[in-house]
Amino acid sequence: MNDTNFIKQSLYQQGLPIYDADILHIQNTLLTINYAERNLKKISPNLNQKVPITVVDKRLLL
Amino acid sequence: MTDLGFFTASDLAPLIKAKQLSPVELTKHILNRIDTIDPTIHSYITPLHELALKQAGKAETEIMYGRYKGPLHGIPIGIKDNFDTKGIRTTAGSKLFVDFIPDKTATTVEKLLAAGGIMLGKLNMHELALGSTGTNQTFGTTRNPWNIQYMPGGSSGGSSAALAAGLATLVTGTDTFGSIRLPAAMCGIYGLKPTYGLVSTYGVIPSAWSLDHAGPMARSVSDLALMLDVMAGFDADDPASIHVPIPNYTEDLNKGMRGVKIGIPKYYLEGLESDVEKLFKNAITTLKGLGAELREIEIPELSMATFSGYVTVSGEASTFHYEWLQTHVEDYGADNRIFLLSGTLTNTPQYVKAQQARRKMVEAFHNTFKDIDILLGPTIPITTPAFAQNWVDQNLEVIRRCLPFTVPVNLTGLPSLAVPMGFDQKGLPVGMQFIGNHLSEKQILQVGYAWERINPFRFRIAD
Repeated sequence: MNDTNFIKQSLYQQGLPIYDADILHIQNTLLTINYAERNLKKISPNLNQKVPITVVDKRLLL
Repeated sequence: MTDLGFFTASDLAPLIKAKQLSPVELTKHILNRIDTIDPTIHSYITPLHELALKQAGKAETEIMYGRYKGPLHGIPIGIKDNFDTKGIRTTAGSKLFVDFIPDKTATTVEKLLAAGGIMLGKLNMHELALGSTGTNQTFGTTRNPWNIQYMPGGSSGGSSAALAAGLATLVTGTDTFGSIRLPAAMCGIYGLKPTYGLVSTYGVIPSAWSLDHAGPMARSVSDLALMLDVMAGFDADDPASIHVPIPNYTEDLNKGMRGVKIGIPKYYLEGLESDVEKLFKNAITTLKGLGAELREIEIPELSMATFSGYVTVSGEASTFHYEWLQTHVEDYGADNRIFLLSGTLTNTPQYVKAQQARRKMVEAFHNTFKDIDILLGPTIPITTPAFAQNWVDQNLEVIRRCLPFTVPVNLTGLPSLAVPMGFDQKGLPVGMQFIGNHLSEKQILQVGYAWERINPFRFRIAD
């Protein structure tokens, strides 16, 4: 996910711009996310039992 | 004698009500200060001299004829430039919206104006409310009035700088991952991020829908209460708006904090710069002296905030900006371009996992509030940085350091009051935040007011 080619290819496939100078910064941001993601399992091994907080406008349903 | 530009609304309102101070004279005075000082500070994108004087004249006439509306009547207010204002350019600090003239006014602005507030102008901000430093390549970077080599914080950096420089009496702010509280800390002023849905965000240009909050910023807690009295309340136009009874926030502000149980999560004691740590320890001692009961506590779920915050902010923001990124990428600052493009590279399971973590965090906070009244931590772990030459690196780094301290309450919708707690060795302000349970604004304002009575900022201004 943090590989340079993967990043460039993913952006290209989405029709998004690619600036070489951005790649290292994007990698760092994704690394921060991936590193933080490891904490989830440590703190809550059963996170999948939780229903996600969802954006539901209850006024539309009632 | 203190310049009129630094008076609080709570000081000014009785004078205006008693017809001892003219709203026109007050507004002229602050507009003059803007003309003189703001070319250095860059806190405004669009000052509105003509409109402000017109509104001030109207307020003055109403008051002269005995139609006083309340404590905001005749008070000059700055509006962050991501709040829509009908017929007045609203840029969100971005080249994308450089010519955008809304056909409606944001609900909160309408309420402030209906209460008699005078709109001084539209305030500068970190582009698109997606950064924490106040840099802006399009409209000019806002400077910290305490030292213009230093950042004012963001994204409500124009708002915080205007207050610190005496260029507005009250201002509005928005907070998606700290944008009210972080600049409040860096500029030494007060800011409240309310409970999610308590203050309408209708007519606010979105950053990340599920985390966006609007709130008051001011030079005193009592001024925040005055603003919240007007800003809070149900808005049918805002899908996130909540229908709850609204208390009188200004009533019983001086209740004090004797016996209030304050928990300090160990999470908020990690990675502090030494000046922040020292000031925070002093603050704890002072709060004990005021009668609060303080103890350290563990909330392990707080460690989920960085993942959940990054994924939710960047994911929702990149969704809002997706087409513009494809067609108008040259209109974005490099920092936001990088942040938003990163958001297009996270995956759906990560986004959903982030929302599961949010539920887990809300439950953990609710459990904590069974034994604790209020949580306390430094607003951010760092002291205010001077602007660096490599502003892109710096902006991303400030987010990386500060987001873990500010975003937990955005993810969980809890209210948080940012207050000044002293000065670092460079003479820049440092702040801390009181976090309450949902809809506990009245209590955190009471605690904040007790703190304000003894804090060192009462007698210092950034002149």
